[in-house]
Amino acid sequence: MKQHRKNRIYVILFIGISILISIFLVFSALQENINLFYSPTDLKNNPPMSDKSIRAGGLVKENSLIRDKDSLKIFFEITDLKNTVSVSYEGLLPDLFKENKGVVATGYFYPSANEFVAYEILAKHDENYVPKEVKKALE
Amino acid sequence: MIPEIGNIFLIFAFSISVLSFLSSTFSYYSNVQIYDLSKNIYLIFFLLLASFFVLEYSFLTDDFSVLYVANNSNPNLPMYYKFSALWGGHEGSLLLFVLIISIWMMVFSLLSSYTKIEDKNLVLSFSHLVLFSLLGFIIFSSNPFERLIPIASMSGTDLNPLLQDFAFTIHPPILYFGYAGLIIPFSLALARCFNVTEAWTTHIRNWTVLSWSFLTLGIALGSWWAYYELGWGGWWFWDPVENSSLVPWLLATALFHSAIVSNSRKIFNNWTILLSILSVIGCFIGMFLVRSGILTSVHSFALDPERGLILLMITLAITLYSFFVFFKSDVSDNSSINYSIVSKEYFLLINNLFLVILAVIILFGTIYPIFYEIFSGGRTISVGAPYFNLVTVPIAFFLAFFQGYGVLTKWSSSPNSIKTFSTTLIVIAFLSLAFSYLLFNYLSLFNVIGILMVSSIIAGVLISAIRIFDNKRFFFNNLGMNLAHIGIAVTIFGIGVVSSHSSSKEVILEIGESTTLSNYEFTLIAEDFKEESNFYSQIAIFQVENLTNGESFDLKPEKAFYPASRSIMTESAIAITPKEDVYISLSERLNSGEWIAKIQTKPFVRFIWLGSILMCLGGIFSFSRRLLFK
Repeated sequence: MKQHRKNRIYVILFIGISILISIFLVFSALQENINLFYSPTDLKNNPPMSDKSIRAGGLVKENSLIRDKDSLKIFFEITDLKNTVSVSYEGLLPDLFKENKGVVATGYFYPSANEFVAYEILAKHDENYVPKEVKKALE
Repeated sequence: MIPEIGNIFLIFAFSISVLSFLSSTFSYYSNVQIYDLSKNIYLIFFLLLASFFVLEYSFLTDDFSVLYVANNSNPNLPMYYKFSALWGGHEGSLLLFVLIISIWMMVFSLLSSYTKIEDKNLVLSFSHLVLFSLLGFIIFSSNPFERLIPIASMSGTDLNPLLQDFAFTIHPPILYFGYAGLIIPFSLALARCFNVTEAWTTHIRNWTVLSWSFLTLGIALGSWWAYYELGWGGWWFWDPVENSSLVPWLLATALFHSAIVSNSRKIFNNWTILLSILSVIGCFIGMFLVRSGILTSVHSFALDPERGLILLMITLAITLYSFFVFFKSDVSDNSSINYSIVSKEYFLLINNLFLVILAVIILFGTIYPIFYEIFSGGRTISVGAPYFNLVTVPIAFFLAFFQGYGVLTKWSSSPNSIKTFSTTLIVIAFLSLAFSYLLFNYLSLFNVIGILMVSSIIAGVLISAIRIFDNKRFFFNNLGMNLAHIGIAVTIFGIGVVSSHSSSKEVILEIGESTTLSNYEFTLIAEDFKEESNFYSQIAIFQVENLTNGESFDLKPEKAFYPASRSIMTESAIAITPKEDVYISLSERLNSGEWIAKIQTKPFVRFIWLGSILMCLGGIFSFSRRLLFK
């Protein structure tokens, strides 16, 4: 076989293998790292496994915010006006976190206690902007 | 009356742009000689500039009868921010974008000469295609001059407080210079499909490098802004809007590397054309994702879906049109060129392959939620940052690894490849050990990967720098490239260290109380209050003592309240030391008088942006050298 033919085959093999490895990489990474969105009603009707990280969203229920005395622990409730779920979170709250405003939290849900343990509360740039998941959850 | 004049300028610019496109197309198919259409772009530029200043005038004079001004400004806003508020929303930022497109077209027209005037007309006509599509979109569906009648309020809503910042004045224009510049290689590539062959690869290479420089700087500015203004010290969030800028950046990087091969070897021609088209389509997809609100992002504009649909139509039309032109064209490579697997061609091929794979998987992760929602019957998901870190790091590793050796290879084949290869490996090993020694306190698996990447890039630059003793001209020719490659190494170094060795702590402190983090002691010593024209803020004063050398300094983070939009802003305080940033941001003040704060140290975080500045300078140097010393 001519040398340049051989080279061409190497090139094609290299491209093929790289693409295959990338596809494998993408799908294995995707399996672990997607977070399904649940409204409080979804959490009640169709609770997820408690070892899977999910996102929950809706409005922060009025008068539900309780702050722990000596730690950064916070408890509040998320409502979609039909059902509510209680959330616990330890850490700082974004500036736009307010009662009666939209919120999206990422974390784990424990159906037996109806409790959502959040490790991240999402902040938004714009005060008038409601995440579309939250908008949908409220419909 | 004055805003209507601005609107008329826009309509004139739109009409001239449409006419220029139509007449070049007509002239191409009918072989009728026409005059030099490239002069039109000066007129379009002045019309758009005039319309830009008309809108500025409405902002500066608080004309709240203009809907867009009412939504994005406020009488109490400082003059300086009234000026930049123009690009604080959807309509105004689009106006700025088309103005910048016309600047690129004008500069291209001034700096490039064609023997046949038809060729230049044809190249510019494809830029006109993009320009008038966007101008039409502005005039018919996103008009910044639209009136608000009857006038609802005399005060306006206000510019989003996050945007009341110096970085906002420069980040969008520079980023837009980056995006808009890619329209020039796009036009050159489409013109090549219509047999405009004169210096096409040289032009594509140079213009891509220049817009890539702006894009790099624009993205870096955005990252720096997010770092200090979003308040929590992150510098990259894998947010859809960031990804939308990274995808065109990766494609543009691949593009000018591929154009180098097309330019020197007359191969990869179709690939260069395809990449030119894809870069612009990448920009349009990004624009659609950000402006349609289809993805939940920190940057999303609250928009009506009709505009998103129109933007999607424009994106689809430009995609279909350019692919139609591309597949109908007949561009061939120089078939007598062969190259071995240790040649510059082959290494640039690897570079292109990995850059494009990176772009595709980032785009895939960004739009996957849309497809998931469609195919799962309305279930929404989000793709987390770990996905992006997991898939991009290994590919970036190989990219950097091949980059170092790649710059040392020669066209066609490298006769001394074994010798060069072993020298490179030795230099990499030596550099890695040296870095590991210097960063002994910061070693981790992640950092070892980073150190290997940095070492291979620098090894390539070093060895090629040693070669300049043989050939001085060679050094000058490659200065831009080497500067940019060092820039990448510096950025990777910063990313590696800051990702694995930042420390942070969330605390509740009352006045007089202290806490320690890393080798600093933080004491909350006092509180303060200040009032400005459009906001007031509470200030907490921290004394920070460096426990190793006993030096101390004050940091004054703020919590600001903007009455016009009733919003709260976190103004972080950052002390920059040679090694690291000391970062404090306030969360909230409890009723008991205690402050909740987040304190952080960010070692070598400045390297991320320093590297980007080097890349940008390298690109600009490379462009100007090629322009001045043809």
